[in-house]
Amino acid sequence: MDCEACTDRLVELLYEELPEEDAEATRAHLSGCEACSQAFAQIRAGKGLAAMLEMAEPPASVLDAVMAAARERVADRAPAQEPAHERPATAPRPDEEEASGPWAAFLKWVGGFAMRPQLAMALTLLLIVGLGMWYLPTLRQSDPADSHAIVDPAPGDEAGPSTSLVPAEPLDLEADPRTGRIRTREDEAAEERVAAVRPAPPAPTPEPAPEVTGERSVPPPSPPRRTRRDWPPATAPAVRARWWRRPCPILGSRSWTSARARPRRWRRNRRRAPRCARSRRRWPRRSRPRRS
Amino acid sequence: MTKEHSDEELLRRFNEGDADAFAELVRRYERPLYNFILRSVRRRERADELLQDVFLKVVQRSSDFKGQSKLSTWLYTIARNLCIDHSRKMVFRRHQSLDAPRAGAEDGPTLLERTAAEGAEPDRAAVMEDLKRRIADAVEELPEEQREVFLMRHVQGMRFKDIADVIGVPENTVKSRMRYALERLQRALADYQEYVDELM
Repeated sequence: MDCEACTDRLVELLYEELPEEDAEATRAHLSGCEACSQAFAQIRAGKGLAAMLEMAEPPASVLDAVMAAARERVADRAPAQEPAHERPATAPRPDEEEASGPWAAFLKWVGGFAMRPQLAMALTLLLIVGLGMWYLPTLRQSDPADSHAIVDPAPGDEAGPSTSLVPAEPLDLEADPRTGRIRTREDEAAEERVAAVRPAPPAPTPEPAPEVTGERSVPPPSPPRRTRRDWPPATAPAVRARWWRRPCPILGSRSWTSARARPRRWRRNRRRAPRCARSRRRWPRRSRPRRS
Repeated sequence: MTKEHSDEELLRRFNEGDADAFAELVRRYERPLYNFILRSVRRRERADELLQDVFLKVVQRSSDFKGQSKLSTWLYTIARNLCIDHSRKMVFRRHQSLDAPRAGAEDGPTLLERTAAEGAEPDRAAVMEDLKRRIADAVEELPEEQREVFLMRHVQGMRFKDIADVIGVPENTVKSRMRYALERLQRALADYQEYVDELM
């Protein structure tokens, strides 16, 4: 053992915190090293002097205040932690004495369930489901034009929800059974006027009426369905915005980055096609809508 | 309250509503904590206030003690933090108190002058009283980091590892500080060395 290691262990040796093996090695070094033994003697003398340090007594008033605070704390906790069997027995209230009989027992049994959260949640769920089942048929019998509503995206906000969720009015259109073209009721009136002047042609065979299913009333002939590719015309900014938001050809969902989510360099150059947020695929240029 | 209950057990019982357990804790720690604080702040009235603050903090935060360390470590950490706060406040209003006892009489009379002046037979009680005062002064004049280590070891008897936990320094640093403190005490009280050797 060298002197440096011995010096590090002197204090532990003095206070007997050194393991026995190390203590023996340190003592062996001290017996042969005068400098280390002098250092050990010095700190041992210091310890002897420190042992005579007088210990002062704290004033009792300080501790009385502490104990008063501790008892107050215990008293504050007591009502919450006191076991039921240790509570003092109190006389029953007059209304408790009067409440007897089967009706009181029933009320007491119901009252036991009153504040239970599980029961409250179950009742709320039942209420919601019941109201839904009650109103659902009524909603289904409402205006069939709801199903033909055209949902327009908000022109200024590509990422936000559509603001025009108001159902569109039923279109006054009717398909010509011969040509398949759409004709309005005004056209029909004009044709009737022409037919009144001309000799009547043989009546066309009427188309079979559409089957009426369920409780629905006879719906008006449905207008030609507008697809996403041909509507709306590709000239307005809102239309272009709608094109940007087409589903990803890989993932199929609307995962294209919105204008706000695109990097700044994309926003600076709006002509660049956006990428899908997840597949990172760029929209192919050839499939962009062409202006007519 | 029997002595075999550990400190942590006593605190747990206090949290369950046993005020006597806390009284036992106070009895165990009042003296060493008070002396630790007194030697740190050097003023009795301040030490009284700080000791009260330490125990009041224990009362308020007893439920926060999770038992991951020793209770003594926790108590001394609280006491040390309060002493540090106090010394920081005193830095801004350090002045010579008119009623505080004067510490460090380096240029005063020697032990021989003081004892021989009384007569041929020195009054041993007077010398002892003077020695105790000098030891207290020497402890109070230790550097802050050495004094706190010395007091925790001597007053409370804490192990060096626990002292290192309280202070937040490596254990070897604690041992070095302890060694320096003992050497400094021995040098400061070298005049009394022979007298102490006679007593021992």
